[in-house]
Amino acid sequence: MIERVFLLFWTLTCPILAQVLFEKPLSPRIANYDLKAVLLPDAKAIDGSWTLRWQNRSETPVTELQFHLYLNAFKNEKSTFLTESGGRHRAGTYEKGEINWGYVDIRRINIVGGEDLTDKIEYIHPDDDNADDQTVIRIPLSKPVEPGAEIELSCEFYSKLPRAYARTGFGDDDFYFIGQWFPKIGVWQNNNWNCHQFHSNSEFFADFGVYTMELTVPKRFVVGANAVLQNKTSTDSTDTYFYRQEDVIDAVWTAYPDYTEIKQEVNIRGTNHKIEVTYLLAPDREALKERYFLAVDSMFNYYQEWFGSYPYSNLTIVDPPVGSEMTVGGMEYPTLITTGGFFSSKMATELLGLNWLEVVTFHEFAHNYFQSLVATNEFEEPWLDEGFTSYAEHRALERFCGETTGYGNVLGMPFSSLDYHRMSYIPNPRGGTMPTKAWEIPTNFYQTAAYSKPVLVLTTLERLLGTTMMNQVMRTYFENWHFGHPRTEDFIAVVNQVAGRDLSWFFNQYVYGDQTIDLHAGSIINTNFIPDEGWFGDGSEMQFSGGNKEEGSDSTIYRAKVRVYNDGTGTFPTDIVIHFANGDSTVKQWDGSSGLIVYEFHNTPKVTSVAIDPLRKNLLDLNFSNNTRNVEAQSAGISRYTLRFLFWLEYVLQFVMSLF
Amino acid sequence: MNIILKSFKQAFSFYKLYFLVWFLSLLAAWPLFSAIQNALAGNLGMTNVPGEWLQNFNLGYLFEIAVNQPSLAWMTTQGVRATAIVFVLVAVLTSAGTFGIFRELSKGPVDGRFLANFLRLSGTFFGRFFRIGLWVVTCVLLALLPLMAGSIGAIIAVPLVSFILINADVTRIRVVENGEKGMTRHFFTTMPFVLRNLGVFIGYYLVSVVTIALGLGLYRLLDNFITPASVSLIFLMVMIQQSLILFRSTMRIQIISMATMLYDKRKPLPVPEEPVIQLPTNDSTLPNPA
Repeated sequence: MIERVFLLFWTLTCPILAQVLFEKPLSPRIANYDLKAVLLPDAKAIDGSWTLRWQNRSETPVTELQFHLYLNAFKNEKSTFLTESGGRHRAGTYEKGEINWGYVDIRRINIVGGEDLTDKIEYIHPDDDNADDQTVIRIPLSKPVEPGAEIELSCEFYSKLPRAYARTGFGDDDFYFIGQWFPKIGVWQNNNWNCHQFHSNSEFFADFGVYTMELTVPKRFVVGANAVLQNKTSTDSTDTYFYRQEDVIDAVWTAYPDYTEIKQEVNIRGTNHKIEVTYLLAPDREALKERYFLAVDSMFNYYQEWFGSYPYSNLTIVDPPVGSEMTVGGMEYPTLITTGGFFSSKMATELLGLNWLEVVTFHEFAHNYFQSLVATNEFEEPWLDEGFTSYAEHRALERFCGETTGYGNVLGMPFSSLDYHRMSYIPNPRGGTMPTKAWEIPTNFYQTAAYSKPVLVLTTLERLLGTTMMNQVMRTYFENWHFGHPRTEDFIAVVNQVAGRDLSWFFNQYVYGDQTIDLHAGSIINTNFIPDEGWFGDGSEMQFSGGNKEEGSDSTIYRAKVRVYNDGTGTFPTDIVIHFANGDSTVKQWDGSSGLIVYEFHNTPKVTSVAIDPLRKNLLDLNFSNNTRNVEAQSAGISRYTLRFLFWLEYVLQFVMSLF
Repeated sequence: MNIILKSFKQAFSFYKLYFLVWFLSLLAAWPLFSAIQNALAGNLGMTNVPGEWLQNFNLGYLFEIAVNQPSLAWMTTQGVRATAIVFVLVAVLTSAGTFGIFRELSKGPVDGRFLANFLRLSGTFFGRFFRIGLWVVTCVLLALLPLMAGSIGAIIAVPLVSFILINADVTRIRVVENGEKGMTRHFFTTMPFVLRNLGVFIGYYLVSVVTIALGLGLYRLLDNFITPASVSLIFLMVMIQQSLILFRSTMRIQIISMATMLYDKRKPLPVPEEPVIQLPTNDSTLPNPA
């Protein structure tokens, strides 16, 4: 009898007696959720509930709580998200129709074993005056949460999923990607709630915690989540998955009947750390398996070398099906990323020559470092996550795909990640500054401010400090701030500390400021230097000095003037190399501060050329093509490509002749 | 097979014609090439950029030039637009002249100067060929619509486009042969004939298309093999490129030649006019039958 009772007890409790993943907490574990969700495919909705244990780690009592209701961004056309985005996000456009809108409805929220707080819910809009936005709520507490104390809340909610067009929702053929799906507490910081509305150009910010998920779905679905699967139970019609993840900032999951599940074990070289990678691939993506394996194995090792250890034992990679690849593909969550396999197809790779699979995979996984572990505030300083991630992606692409072909070999032309980011930065370098709140950055500057300019700034910093020191900077920053919430000034402090010098001049101009720099080589003027002729000096020291009689020969002595301009407003210490006819060269350094500098040489051979920043250290220079100047023209390189252009023009004409 | 061999032989024997088509291609493309060459040389000739381009070239250069040399970018855009118009005009002119003179040459030696005849025939058929061209472009664009459904759409699009191009060539042959007007009617009335002989036409055209593809493939091989990092290698590449254009011109003439032979062989025989039997009228001069 006792055995039977024990067996019954074990059967009932086994699913919820989750296995602890880390012996010691890695993070502060401030917000801890036990989530339950039942997927309702017909209604495109989730019937959900959670228990939240939240700790007040501050020195002041907390008298109210604030929560994000992210899904309400898709509730109607009046939300801040829809208003700002105009219904467009990435390549997706919001489709209207009753089934396509999404929202989260809190049906009950109460203190466990205590007060019902449901009637106290009040919508607030801390960022704008949009009274119709319902993405943030406040709940006043009758009794404050004292410093060091914990509050345990229980909540029942109904999440109607939107048709996916911005990271979360449902797609065709029973595809679900379920992110930002539950009421999520804000971050109590500096005696205030940091809980912003959901904006078109912003992502997320949250505290670390332990998440358990109990996900019930109809039997036909294959399920994945950003957590470790602990158990699975079944009824005749449903499967229930029990997941647990520790020391993360979010919980996300996906369900789709047609996923192909593939596993890969990655060993981090030089350590005993093994990571189980689970791929959930949409139909037809299995062909990309080997490419994924190689890229993923490499990226784990690169980031370990450059930044530090990935502490988790799992990673899930979701490659969404056609139709959802742009709306939910290319997104990051702790220990789960979505990629863009469709654009990594044979056509994109072989015809266009794009390394899209590697670009997206390296980028999204780098987010596990910058934002998931170093949990910066994506609302307020998007450059700290997107920018650092893009920098990591750039370095990984350079190593994996080659220095000049990181993005690919497009139509036979090398296309590096730096080319890509300079394309974004150069046309619009003064659209704003980098550490700006996401929704305050002009839309046409967001890509530049959050992604491209940061890559150029960080790569320029790397070339200024040297790669070894930059690695030390990044490792120290990661070491100091993983499981924390650093801001821009914290990163700068790390740079100054590791570099052992104050680099504020650099950050003030190019991070906090919008200074530009464009050094260009102006004129080179060589004039014959003919010394005065005759006897000079007195007595025994009297000497004859003769003029230069062989004008135009290589041995002719010249006076040379070289002009270098800075057409921008900023400064940067730059090497300027001046070459002479006899093969000698001299290196000068100028920071561009006076707008113009003239180098004069007397009694020297002819100056033949000048090259500014020949090693391309300063990637913020707006125009590389004017960085050099020669006294003699050369055009063979131009003809090489213009003649090729002529050929293709003629070929096109031949085709037109077939039509006419 | 006999027609294919004959058409190749005929195309290669009309050397003046294919040199003229090649020269017109070069002439039409030259202004844009020349403008870009001069502008780039003016802006970048004194820098190290041309030297760097001898070693490598990437998309970054193109983009930086577009952003930092707005006048060059503007000039290129306008130049491309103007060239597109020139291309259409030259294509019609060349096509009209080629079909016209081909027809005359295939009948025997042409009196007078070759170029004068070419231009005369171009002028004669210009308007009609232009209208056929408009129909072809419209129909080809419509035929490409299935591609919007993905690569599976190619199953419909490719045969449709092939049919339209063959039909257009046969229409041109008919127009030149008969000196007819009313292009729209001819474009559509040619279709039944082409449809009846579609298998034969496609088979013959395929031979030409494969030959062109082989030529292009050979060029691609050479292009991958030769890195023109010096003036002599650049010159070699230009020779190879222009040879391919010349070859492509020859192949176009071969296709016209083949289509004409095939048309002549398969065209419907003219319906013999029925003899008019004049019945005797009530002529009083005729003797009354006894």
